[in-house]
Amino acid sequence: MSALPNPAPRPPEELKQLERIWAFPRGWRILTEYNNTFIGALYVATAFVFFLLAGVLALIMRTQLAVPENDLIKPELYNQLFTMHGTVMMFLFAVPAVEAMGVLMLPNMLGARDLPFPRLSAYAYWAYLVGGLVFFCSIFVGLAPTGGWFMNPPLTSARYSPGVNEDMWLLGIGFIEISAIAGAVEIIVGVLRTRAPGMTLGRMPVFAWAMLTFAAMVVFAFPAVILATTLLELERAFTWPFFDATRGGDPLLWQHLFWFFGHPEVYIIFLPAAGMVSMIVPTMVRTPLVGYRLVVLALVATGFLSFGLWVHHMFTTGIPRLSLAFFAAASMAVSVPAGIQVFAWIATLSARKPRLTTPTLFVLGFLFIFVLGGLTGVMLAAVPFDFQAHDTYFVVAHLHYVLVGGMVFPLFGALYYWIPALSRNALSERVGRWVFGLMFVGFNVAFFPMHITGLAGMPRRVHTYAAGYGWDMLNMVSTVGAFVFAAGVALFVVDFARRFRPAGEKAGNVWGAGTLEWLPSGHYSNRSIPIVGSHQPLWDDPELARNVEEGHYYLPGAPTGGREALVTAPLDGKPQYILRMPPPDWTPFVAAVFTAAFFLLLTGKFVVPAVACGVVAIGAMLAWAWALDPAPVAPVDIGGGITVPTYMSGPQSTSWWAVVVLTMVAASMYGAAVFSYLYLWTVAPRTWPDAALLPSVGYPVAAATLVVLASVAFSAAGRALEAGRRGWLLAALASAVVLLVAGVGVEVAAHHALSPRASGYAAMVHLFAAIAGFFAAVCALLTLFCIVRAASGQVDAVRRVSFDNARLFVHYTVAQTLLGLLLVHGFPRMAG
Amino acid sequence: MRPGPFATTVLRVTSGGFVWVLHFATIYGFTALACARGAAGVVPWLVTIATLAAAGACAAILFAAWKDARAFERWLSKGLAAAALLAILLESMPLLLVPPCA
Repeated sequence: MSALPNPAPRPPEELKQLERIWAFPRGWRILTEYNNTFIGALYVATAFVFFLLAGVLALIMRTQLAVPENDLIKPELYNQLFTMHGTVMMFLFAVPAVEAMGVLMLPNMLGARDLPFPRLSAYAYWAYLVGGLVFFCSIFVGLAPTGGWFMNPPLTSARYSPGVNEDMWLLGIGFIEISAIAGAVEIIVGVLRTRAPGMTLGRMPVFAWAMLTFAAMVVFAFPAVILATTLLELERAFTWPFFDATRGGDPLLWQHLFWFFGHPEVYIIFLPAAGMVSMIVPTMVRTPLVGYRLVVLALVATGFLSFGLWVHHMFTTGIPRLSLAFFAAASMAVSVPAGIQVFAWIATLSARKPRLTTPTLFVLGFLFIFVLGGLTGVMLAAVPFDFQAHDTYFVVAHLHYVLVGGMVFPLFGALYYWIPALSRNALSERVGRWVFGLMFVGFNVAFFPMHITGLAGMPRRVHTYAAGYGWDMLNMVSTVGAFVFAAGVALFVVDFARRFRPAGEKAGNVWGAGTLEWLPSGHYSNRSIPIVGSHQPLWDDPELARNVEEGHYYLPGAPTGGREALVTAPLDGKPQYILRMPPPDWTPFVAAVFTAAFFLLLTGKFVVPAVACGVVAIGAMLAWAWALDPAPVAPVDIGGGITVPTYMSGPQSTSWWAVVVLTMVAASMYGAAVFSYLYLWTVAPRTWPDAALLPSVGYPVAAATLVVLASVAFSAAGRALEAGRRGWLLAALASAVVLLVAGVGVEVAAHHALSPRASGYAAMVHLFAAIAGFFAAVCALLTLFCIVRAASGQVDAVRRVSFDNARLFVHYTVAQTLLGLLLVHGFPRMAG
Repeated sequence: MRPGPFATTVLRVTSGGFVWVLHFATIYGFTALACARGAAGVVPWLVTIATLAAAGACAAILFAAWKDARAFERWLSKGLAAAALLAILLESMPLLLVPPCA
C-alpha cells in the first residue's frame, strides 16, 4: 500500500464533486455533452445504423440479381444502389465505426479522464451524423451518386454525369473526410499524451497501437482524396480541366489520387479491427499475447507498406509493366505483416484452451474469412491473373472477404466483448452463437460462390444478366446467403435492444480481462488514475480495481474545480500537467450542424445560404476556441508528492501537438497537389509553356519577399509578447497579416492573363494560387483572433497558446507558399 | 518532456519505413518519367542505384539499433528497418524479370 500515491482514505465529498462536474447535462442540453465515452457510444451506434442501411441496399441488389433478366430494379436506380452501398459502407460505416471504437474505448483503456480534444470529437460526430443522414436520404429522391464508390472520371465529369448526383458525393463525402481527420488528431494526441503514468510505449495496449497507426495513416491518406474531390468539383463546377485529356488533364490522375487514399483505406479499416482481436484473444485464453513486439511491428510496418499498393487497383490502365511489377511485389510484401499477426493470434489461441465465447467465435470466423480474403488478394496481386479477374465478381468476393472478414467480424466480436463494460447486461451468449452462426454461414454462402461467378466471367455492377451463362444458380445461392447473413445481423439488433442498458451499474469485467478499460468507471472515467507496470495490469495486481475506485492513485478528485485530464509524457508516461476543459456548451454542435449545412447547400448550388451557414460555423468555432485558453491557476498536487502545473504552452502543450498534426495533414495534401502537378507534366508536357511565356521573375520574388516578411513580423510579435509590449505585439501581428495577404495577392495577380480553363497546366497554376489564398485566409483568421485576444488582455508572456498556435501555422504556411512559388515559377523554367 | 527526445525517437523508430517510402517513390516515379520520355535505358541503372542506397541505409539503421536491442523503441526501429530492407529487395527484383517500359 505504501507505493500508492494517495494511501489515505479520501474525503467523501470528493467523489460527489467529481460526479457533479462530469454529470451529463439534462434535457436538450445533452446535445452539448462532449465526453468521449458519450460521443463514442453515439458514434458507434450511428455507424452501426449506416451499416444496417447500406446492408438493406445490398439486399435489394441481391434480390434483383437472384434470377436472370429480372426487372425489379431499373438500371438508373441500380447504379445508385451500388454506389451508395459502397460509399456508405466505406465512408459512413467502416471508417467512422473504427474511429468511434477508438473514441469510445481509448480514454478508459489508457486510464485517461478524457482525450485532450473531446469537443473536436463531438464536432466530428455531429457533422458526420447530419452530413451522413442527408447524404443517405439523397437516394430517396433520385439524387444519389451513380459513379461507383471510386467515382472515376470521365464517367463522373460534368459532360457524362450532369446533375447534382455526383456533386452530392464530392461535397458530401469530401467533408465527412474532414470529420475523420478531426478524429485522427484527437486519437494521435490522446494516445501519445494522456496515457496513465507508467504506460510506456512498450506497455501500450495493442488496440492503442493500432489506433495510433490508424490515425497516422488517416493523416497521410485522407488528404489525397480531399484534394481529388476538390479537383473534380472544380472541374465540374468551373471547367478547370484536371481530368480532361483533351485539354492536358488526365483521368488517371483521379485514380492515382483516389487509390493513394483508397488502398491504405483498407488497412485503415483493418488495423483497428486487428487491434480489437489482439485485445480479445489474450483475454479468452487468459494469457498474454504471443509476440507483442512483433504484432506492434506488424501494425507499424503495414502502416508504411500499405502506401505502396495503390496501383494494384490500376493494373489494367496501361502503366508500364515494370511499374506494375513494383506494386505487385509490394502487394505481396504487405501480406507478411498481416501473416505475422495471424500467426501471433493462432499461437496465443494455442497457448491454452480458449473459452469458446461469442467474441472468440467471431475471432475464429474472422481468421477463416480474412485469411481466405488475403489469399485471393495475393492472387490478384499477380498482374496476369488480375487482368482476367479485373472488374468481375471475383473482385467483389475478394473485397468482401477482406473487409467483412477483416473488419465486420472483429467489430461484432469487439461489441460482444466490450458491451459488458458499457451496459448493465452483457449480450446473450446463447443468442450470440446464433448470430455468429447465421452471419458466418450466410457470409460464406453469399460470397464464396462469387469467386466462381467472377471466374465464369460475370462483370460487377451490372443490374441484370442473361440466362444461360452458368451464373444463374450461383447468383441465387449468393442471394440466399445474403439474407441468412442479414438474419444474423437482425438477431444481433434484437438482442442488443433487449439487453443493452447503458445507465447504472455496469456488468463489468465478465471475461476476467487484464486491461484498464475494465476498471470500474463513471462519466469521469476512473476515480483515480493508476500506475501501469505491464500489459495486463489487472492480472498483475488483483487490488488495482479497488485501489483505483477508492481514489488511492493519481488525481482522485478535481483539484481545479472543473473537468480536467492528466497529460503525460509521450515516451514514459510521466505526469506533466493538468489540462483544463471548459464545461459543455453549444458551440461544437452549432459549428458541426452549420458546417454540414454549408457543404450540403453547396451541392445544390445554393451559394448565398451556404456562405451564410459557413459564416455561422466559423463564428461558432471562434466562440468555441475563445474558451480554450483559460487564465493559469496554481499548480496542483495529484498525489505521490507530484505537483503539476495547470497551464502549459509551447511544444509541451497538447494544443501545439494538435497544430503539428494539422500541419502534417496540410503538408500531405500539398504533397498530393505537387504530385498532381508533376504527374500532369509527365503525361501532358505539351501544355507546359516556354519560359518566355511565364510571368516575369519579379512576381515570385516580390511574393516570396512579402511572405517571408510576414514570418519575420510574427517572430517580432513573439519578442514583443515576451517583453510585454502590447502595442508592438498588435502592430507586428497586423503587419504579418497584411504582408501575407499581399504576398499571396501578388502571386494571384501574376497569373491574371492565364485562364484556369485553358489547360491542365493552367488549372494547376491557379490551384496553387488558390491553395495559397486559402491558407493565407486561415492564417489571417487565426491572427485576427489572436489580435482580439491580445487587445482584450487575454494573451501575455505566459498565457499564449492562441499566439503559439497561430505562429506555428503562419510559419508553416509561409514555407508551403515558398515551395509553391518555386514549383510554379521555377519548375517550368528548369524543365522547359 | 522536451520535444527533442520524442521527435528523435519517432524519427529513429520510423526511419526504416521512410527509407522504404523514398525508395519506392524513387523507383516508381522515375520509371514512370523515364518511360514517358522514352528513356528506358536509364531505368535499370536508376533502380539499381536507388536499391543499393536504400539497402545501405537500412543496414546502417540496423547497425545503429543493434547495440541496445532490449529497449522497445530500439527493437522496433530495428524490426522496421529489417522489414523495409526485405520489402525494398523484393520490390526491386522485378527489374531482373521484366523489361522496363514494355
